[in-house]
Amino acid sequence: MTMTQTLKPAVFHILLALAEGDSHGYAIMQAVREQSGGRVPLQTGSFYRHLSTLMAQALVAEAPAPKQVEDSRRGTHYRLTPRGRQALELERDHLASVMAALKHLKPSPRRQG
Amino acid sequence: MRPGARTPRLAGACYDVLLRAYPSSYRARFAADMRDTFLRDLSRVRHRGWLAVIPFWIVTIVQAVWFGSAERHASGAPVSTPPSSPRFRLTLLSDIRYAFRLLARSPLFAVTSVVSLSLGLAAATVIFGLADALLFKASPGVHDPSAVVDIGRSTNGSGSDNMSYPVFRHLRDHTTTLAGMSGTTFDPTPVSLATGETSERVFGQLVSASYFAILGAQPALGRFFAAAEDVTPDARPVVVLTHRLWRERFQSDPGVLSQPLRINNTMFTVVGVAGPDFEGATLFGTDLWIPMSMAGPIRGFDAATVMESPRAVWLTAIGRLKPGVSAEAAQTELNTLLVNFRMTSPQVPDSHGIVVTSSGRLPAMVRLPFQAFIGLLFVLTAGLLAIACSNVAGMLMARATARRREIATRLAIGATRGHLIAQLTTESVMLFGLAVLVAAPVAMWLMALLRAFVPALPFPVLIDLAIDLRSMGFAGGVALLTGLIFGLVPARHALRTDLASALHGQASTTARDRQRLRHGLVIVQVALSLTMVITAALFVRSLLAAASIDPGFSTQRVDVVSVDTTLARAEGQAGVSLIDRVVARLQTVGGVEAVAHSKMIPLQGGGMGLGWVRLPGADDQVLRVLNESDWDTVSPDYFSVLDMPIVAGRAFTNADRDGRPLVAVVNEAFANAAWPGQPAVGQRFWQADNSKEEGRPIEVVGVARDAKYRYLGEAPRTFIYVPYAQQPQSGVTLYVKHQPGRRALADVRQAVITEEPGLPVILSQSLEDATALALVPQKIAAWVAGSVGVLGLFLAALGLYGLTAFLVAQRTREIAIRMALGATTRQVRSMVLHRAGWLVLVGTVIGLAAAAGIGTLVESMSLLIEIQGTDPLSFVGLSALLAAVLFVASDLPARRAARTDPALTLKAE
Repeated sequence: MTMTQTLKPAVFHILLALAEGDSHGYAIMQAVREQSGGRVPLQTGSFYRHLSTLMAQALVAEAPAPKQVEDSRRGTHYRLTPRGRQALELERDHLASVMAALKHLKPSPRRQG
Repeated sequence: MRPGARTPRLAGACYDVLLRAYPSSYRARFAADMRDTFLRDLSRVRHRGWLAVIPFWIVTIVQAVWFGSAERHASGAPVSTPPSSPRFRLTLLSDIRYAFRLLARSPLFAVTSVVSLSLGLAAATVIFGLADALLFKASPGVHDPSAVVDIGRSTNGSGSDNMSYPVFRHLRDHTTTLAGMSGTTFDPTPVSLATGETSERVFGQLVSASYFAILGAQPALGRFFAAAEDVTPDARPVVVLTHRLWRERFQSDPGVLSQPLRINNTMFTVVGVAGPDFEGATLFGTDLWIPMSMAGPIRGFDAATVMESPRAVWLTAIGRLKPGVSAEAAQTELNTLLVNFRMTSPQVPDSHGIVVTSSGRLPAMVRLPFQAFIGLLFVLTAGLLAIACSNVAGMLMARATARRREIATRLAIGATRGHLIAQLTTESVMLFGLAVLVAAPVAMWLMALLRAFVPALPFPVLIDLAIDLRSMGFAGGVALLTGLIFGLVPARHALRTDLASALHGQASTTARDRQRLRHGLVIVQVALSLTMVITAALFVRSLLAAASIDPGFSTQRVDVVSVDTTLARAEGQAGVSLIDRVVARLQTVGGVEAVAHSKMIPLQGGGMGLGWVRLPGADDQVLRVLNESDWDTVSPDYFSVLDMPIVAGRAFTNADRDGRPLVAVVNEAFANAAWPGQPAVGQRFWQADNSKEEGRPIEVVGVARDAKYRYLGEAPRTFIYVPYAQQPQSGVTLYVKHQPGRRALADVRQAVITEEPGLPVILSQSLEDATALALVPQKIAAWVAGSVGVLGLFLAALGLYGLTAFLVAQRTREIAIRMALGATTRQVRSMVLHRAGWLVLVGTVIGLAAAAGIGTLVESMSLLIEIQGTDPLSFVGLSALLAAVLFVASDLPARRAARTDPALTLKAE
C-alpha cells in the first residue's frame, strides 16, 4: 500500500470544513460527518484532539466571534490560517496528480479475489 | 428521561468529571467548548434511543481517559492542579490506557470476557432486584423499620400463623418489651364501597388503633384511629383512606372528612387520610383501613364470637420493639405471657407458641418459601457468575503467563512489583467495569421478561420490579470485588516468576502451581455447569410431566368470576337466594352454556376445612387421614360444568337444600380410606365444629373421581363436597361455561352488576389462567435454571477449550519431539485429551453430588412434579451431554496439536 493522502482523513475533512468559512466546534464536527458520509468517525474527544494538534501546527487558529450570533450558545470560532489553506491546496494538488495517474487505469471487468 | 432539564445537567456534570483526565492547560483552552459540543452531540444521539446512547457514552469515556492521559504525557510534567498524589493518578491513568490498548489488541479475548461476565452479572442483578423488592427493602413510609417486628403463632416451634383475638389482646395488654402491638390481617379483604346506585370493589385492611403509631405513619388529612374506636365490636364505624384512594376516587377533596361512606352496606365516617408515601406494613396493597373492632361488617364475622373465641384464629400482629430490646427478648416475653394466658384459657393447645421476626415487605407467614425460592435462584445465578469469572481468570492467567517475559524484563529494569500488580489488576477491573456497562441493559431486559411471569393475584401487590440504582450498585460492587480477586490471583502468579528462567523463555518451577489453579478453575466450571443444567432439566421435566397430568377436571371454555355475598350484606340463606338469582341471570347471557359455583378455585395451593370429621369405629390412623380432608361447598351443576365424573351414586340436586338431610359427595380417596372394600354411597360420617362435640351426621350420596385439588403434583388427598345451599360460605366462585368461541366475560360481569348492584366482582379470569398459577414457580425456575445452565455449559466448554489450547501451546516443543520420534497423531491426541478428561471427570463427580443436593432440596420444597430430585434420566442424560460437549471443546486443540509439523515447530523454537 502506498500512501494516497498526506493528511489523515479526519484532519483533511476538518480543514475542508473550515475552508468554507469560520465555524464553531459542533458545526465543524457535523460538517465533517456530512462531507465524509459518516465514514470519518468523530466524537468530541477525538475532534478536539485533532483541533489541538492543528492549532499547534498553526494550520487552524481561533477566530473572533461573528457579529450577529445565529446560535444562542456561545462557542469559540475557528478559522483556517493561510498555512492551513496552503496545506489543503497541497492536498488538492496531490490528489489531482493521483487522479491523473489513475485515469490511465482501465476498469477491470472482474475483480480478482 | 422525561425531565428534559435534569438529564443534560447530570450528563454535563459527568462530562466535567471526565474532562479532569486532561491536563489543566488543555482544559483551560478547550473544556468549555468540549462540554458544549458534547452536550449537543448527546442530544443528537439521544433522539436515536438509549441503545445508541450507551455506546456513545462508552466511546466518550474511553476517549477521555485515553486522550487525557496522552495529553498529560505530551505536556510533560503532571500539571494536575490539586497536589493530592498526582503521581498516583498519573500512574493509574497510564495503567488504564495501557490496559485498554492491550485489550484492543486482543479483541476476541476482550469481547468473550465482557460478554460472559456481563451475562453473569445481569442474571445476578435481576435476582438481586427481585430479592430486594420482596425481602430486603422496607415498606415505604415506615419510620425506623428495623424496630418493627412481625408477631405470629408458631406450632411446635415452627411456622408463623394466625392467632386469635383474645390471645392477641392478652399479649398486647401485658407486653413490656414492645412499645406497641397492633393486629392486622394477612391479606386485604375485598369490600364494597358504594356511591349512588352502584358499588365498586376496593380492598380494606383491619388494623388496631395503634397500627399507624407503630409504623410511624403521619396523616395527610384528619387523624388516625383513637384507642376508644377499637374496643367495642361494631360500635364505631370509622375508616382511614390511603392517599391513593383519596386522590383517585375523591379527587383529593378535603370535604371527604365530613362525608359518610357506605362500606358493605354499613355507614362509615372518614376520620383521616394517610400520607402519600404510606401504603401499609407489607406489599399487599389496600385502599382503606378499618379498626379491628369492625371485623363484623368487613369480614362477615359474628363479631362477638371472633373477638372472644380463642378458637377463631384470623389475625396476625406487628409490633415495635422498645429501644434496646431484641426480637429474641420480645419473643421470650410473649411466650411467657402465652403460658400465663393458657392457665385461664385451656383451649389454646400446648403446641402453640409465639414467634417474633423482623418485619419485611412480605408478611412473615409467607416469607420462608419465598426466601427459599429466591435463594435457589440466587445460587443458580451466582454459579453462572462464578463460571464466567473463573473463565476470565483462566484467560487472564494465560495472558499473564504469556507476558511472563515482558514482566520479567520490566522487573529486571526496576519496575516495582506493586506497580505491576496494580497494572495487571487494572486490566481485570476494567474488564469487569465494561461488563457492568453491558450488563445494565441486559438486566433491564431480563427484568422485563421476569415481570411477565408475575401472575394475576386476587388482591393488589405493591411490588416494584425494576433495575434501580441499588441493583446497579450491587452489580458494580460484585464486579469490583470479583475483578480485584480474579485480577490479583493471576497477577500474583505472574509475579512469582524466576527472573532468569523467564527471560530465557522457559517455564519456571512455579508453573506447576499455576497449572493447579487453572485445573481447579476448570473443575469448578464443569461442576457448576453440570449442576445447573441438571437443575434445569428437573424443572423442565416437571413442567412436561405437569402438562401430561390429568387434573381430574376440565378448564375448557370456563371462566371464573368471584363474588362475596357479605359485600351485598347477604349472609347464610340470604346469600343462597342471592347467588341463585345471579346464576339465573347469568344463564340468560348470550353464549353462556352453563353456570356452576363453589367456594374454592382448584390448584391455588390451598384448601378449606369445615370442621372435624367423626367416624364411629374408625381407628386414629384413619381419622387422621380423614381430618386432613379439604372441603368445598358446591352447586349441583359443579361436577358437570367442570367435567368431574361421579363414579358412584349421584351429584347434588336442587332438592339438597336447607332443612333437608345433610348430604355430601366424597372423592375416591376418602371413600377408600373411610370404608375400604365397601360401597361408600349410603354411609354416614359426622361433621363437628370442635374436637369435643359429637357433630351432625352427613350422608354420602355420591363418590367423585379423584382430582388434583391444591397442587398439580400432590399425592392423592381426601376431599369432601357439600351442597352450598346447606352450608353456605360468603365467598363464591362462579364457573361460567360458554359456547365454543362465544366468550363474553364483560357481559357476565355486567349481568352480575345488573342483578345486584351491591355485589362487586372481585376477580374474573379464565379457569385456565387461574389454574396456571400453580405452575408459576416451576416456570420461573425452569426458565432461570435453563438459560443459566445452557450459558454455563457454553462458558465451561469455552474455558476447557482455552485451557487445552493453552496446554497444547505450552507443550508444542514436547509434542514436536514426540512426533519426530515417531508418536502417532492418535497418541498425541490422547495424550492431550487425557488431562482434559481427568478434569471433566472430577468436575462431573462434584457436579453430580451438588445437583443431587439441589434436587433433594427442591423436591422437599415440593417444586417438582412427578419427578424425583435425583431423577436418573436427567442426571445420566445431562452428564453424557456435558461430556460430549466438553470432549469436542478439548478435542479441537488436541487435533490441531496432532497436525503440527514437528520439523517446523522445532525450527521455530
